[in-house]
Amino acid sequence: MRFNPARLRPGPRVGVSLLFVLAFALVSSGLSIYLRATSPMPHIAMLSDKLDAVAENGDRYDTIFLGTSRTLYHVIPDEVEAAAAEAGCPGLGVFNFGFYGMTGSEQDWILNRLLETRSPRLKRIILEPPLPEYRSVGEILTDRSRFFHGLEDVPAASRSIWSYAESAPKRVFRSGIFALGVAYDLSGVGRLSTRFFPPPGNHQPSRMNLSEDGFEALDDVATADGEARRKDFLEHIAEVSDILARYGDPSPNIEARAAYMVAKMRRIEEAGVEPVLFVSPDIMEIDRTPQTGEAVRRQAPDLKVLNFNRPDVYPDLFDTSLWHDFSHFHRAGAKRLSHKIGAELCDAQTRTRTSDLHAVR
Amino acid sequence: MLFVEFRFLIFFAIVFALAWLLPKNGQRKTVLTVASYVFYAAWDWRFLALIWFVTGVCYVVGMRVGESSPLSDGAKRVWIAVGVTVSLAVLGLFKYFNFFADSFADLAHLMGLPAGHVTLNLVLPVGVSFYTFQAISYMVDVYRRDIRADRSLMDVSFYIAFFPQLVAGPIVRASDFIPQMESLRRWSDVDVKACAVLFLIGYIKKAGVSDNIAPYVDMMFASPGDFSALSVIGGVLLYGVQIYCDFSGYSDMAIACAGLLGYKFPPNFDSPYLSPNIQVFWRRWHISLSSWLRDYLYIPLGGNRRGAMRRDINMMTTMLLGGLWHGASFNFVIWGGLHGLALTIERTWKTHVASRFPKMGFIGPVIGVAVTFYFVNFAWIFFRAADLSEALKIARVYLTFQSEGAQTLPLPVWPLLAGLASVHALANHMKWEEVVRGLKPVPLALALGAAGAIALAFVPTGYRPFVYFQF
Repeated sequence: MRFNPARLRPGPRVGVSLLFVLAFALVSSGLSIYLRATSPMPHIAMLSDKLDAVAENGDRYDTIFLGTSRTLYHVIPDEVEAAAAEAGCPGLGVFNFGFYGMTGSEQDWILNRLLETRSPRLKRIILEPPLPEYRSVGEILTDRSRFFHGLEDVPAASRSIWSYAESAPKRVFRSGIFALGVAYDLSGVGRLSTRFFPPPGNHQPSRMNLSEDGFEALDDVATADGEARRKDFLEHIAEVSDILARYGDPSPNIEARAAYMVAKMRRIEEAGVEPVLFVSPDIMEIDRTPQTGEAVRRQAPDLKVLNFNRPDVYPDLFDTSLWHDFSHFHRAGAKRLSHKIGAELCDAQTRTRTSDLHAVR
Repeated sequence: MLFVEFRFLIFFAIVFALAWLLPKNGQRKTVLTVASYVFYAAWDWRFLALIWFVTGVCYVVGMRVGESSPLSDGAKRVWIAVGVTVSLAVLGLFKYFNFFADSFADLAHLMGLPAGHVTLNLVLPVGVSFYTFQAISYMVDVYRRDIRADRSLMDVSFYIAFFPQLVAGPIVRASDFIPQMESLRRWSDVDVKACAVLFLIGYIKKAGVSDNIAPYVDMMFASPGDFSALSVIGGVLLYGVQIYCDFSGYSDMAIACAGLLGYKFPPNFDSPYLSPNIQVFWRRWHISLSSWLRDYLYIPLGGNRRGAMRRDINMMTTMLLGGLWHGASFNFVIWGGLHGLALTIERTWKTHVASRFPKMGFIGPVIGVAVTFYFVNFAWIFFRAADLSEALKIARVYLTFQSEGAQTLPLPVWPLLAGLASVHALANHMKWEEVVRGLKPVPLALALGAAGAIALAFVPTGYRPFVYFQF
């Protein structure tokens, strides 16, 4: 008897196949949820080191910058402290909690952790708008991705993705990436293997050099991605002025993004810590993040906003010699920006009048 | 594309659906052949030319030496010699050229002759050892008139390239496979339940057992001098488990995939670690290779028909070449030589000594299994070690139980080995296919779903290639 395609119609075979899938899904997700809940946090390069540093040296820091690689590579704590002291605000203790590619759900998780474990000295958290979600399927297979793609991360990630200032199809794509990440985690792949067969040997995870209080200069980090970005920047450096010309162009969903950031800042405020929004210079985001900063100003006039992604106000920050690539400074650029941050932060503490000429209000 | 990868499952689902939806045998064979080339190209598309070349040679020689060929017997002998030589030359060029060139240069250097190292740095094409042996099997079987020469190039291509066995066996004989290709496979003949369970068993062996213990084995073999004697011995035994689960797991998945497409492959393993002696071990370990070597090398060499001395020489030659088949290294030759020596000693023992001892009841086979297992793992040391000096260091510890190192493997090695041995012994006595066939579809689907989920949780993140892909 030959296989008859007609027999593929819904019937006992399909029912049995569905039962197989159901049993697989139930057992794998149940196992995954249980093992996730009972497993310690994996070591995540940079993030774990920075969490430890803040926990161990909490008494040193009253100001924490929390953001993406624009924070990591752009904010030099010593420079900020020195500039603030020069401007009349001595004694600032700054920590850079920049984390490359920080997504909205990652920022929420870290923020909760910082607020829950804060020392009495912590006075302010300076937030940079996060990224919405990873950009490719390949990124979701890492320990880091897995840790931040649990079912409990769905609300935070949804808020971040759907408030992001980009078109609806792109947001759908990012939601798909996030859903795949959650599905990968729920599949439970490797969870029992990690439990029963931990990696042998004395594998000490690589530790980040925190001698600059969390700052890392892109000049000091040699990665293939960094080199590729640099090469691309040098090849297209003539296009910088064209990109900067997009400054002020309309961008979708800006108000929603601003509301998302305001909600986060209010949460910080409710915890008794001062929130500040930091918008870093970023050539590629010139038509997006400056407007988010301005929209936050409109929606919450009482909140402080440090908006440096404004070539009309800070033309000296857009000198291409300061840039490593289209989104990141060299150390020299970071130094110049950090000096401005320190001065403006102090200014915000002492000034009462508002000014459009300054980043801080 | 590995059998344990998600993309293989997608690939297989598409091929499975396409193949069974096509009504004609020729259409199915065409789809399966094209799919096999896609599967092979997923490793490295450049080697498609090589497999096409081997297939072409195989087809042409088959037509020349077959029963219906008008050529004389002498001409047929020339053609079969050319076909086998060309196939072996392909294998030799890609697999052994560097090895023999370097060995020759070293030998010349030892003799004081000037000789430079000539190395082509050829990349070993995946599966070349397997499909060249299948090609030889086809040509020789046609020459011996065990099968008819296939007039269809597509059929020969399908036999050589059929993806379940393409890259790591089992080595399927032309006389076993070609007759299956001649008629339309019937869905009603497919034992879906047994194939599904066999695939899951293979998956668990490979991804759940072999891949999880591999890092510990690697750790011990990387610096054996650091480890205590118990850990070195445990590491060696773990390697025995690793290679068995890796290779037999692959074979199980290959047999299951072929089965789901309607084709039957012969079994490749049969509880080899429960063998009471080395001769039985070789009837149960990599059965498709050992029987291939027996039928296409040992017997043509004369087998045991020309006296004890010649038999032992034939045996040793077969085992040395069998060792060399695994890789271009003296370690593999030594591994083959050890097995050849053990087989020779065993035969001498059986012929001249064993009869002088009283029968020992069930104790005899138990001791036999223990001694065989201990020896097989001893030989694995040479198979796995990075070089001869490392192998000798480990072998010394394995035989003397003495080590200067104190480090222990961070794994409960002995309870794990005891557990796996129990499962192995239990599986040997269980007729699981019959148990599975007796199950109703609903409980079987639920059990398979749950077992699959647990198996997936045991799969380490990050795939490790199958050990036998390197051969």
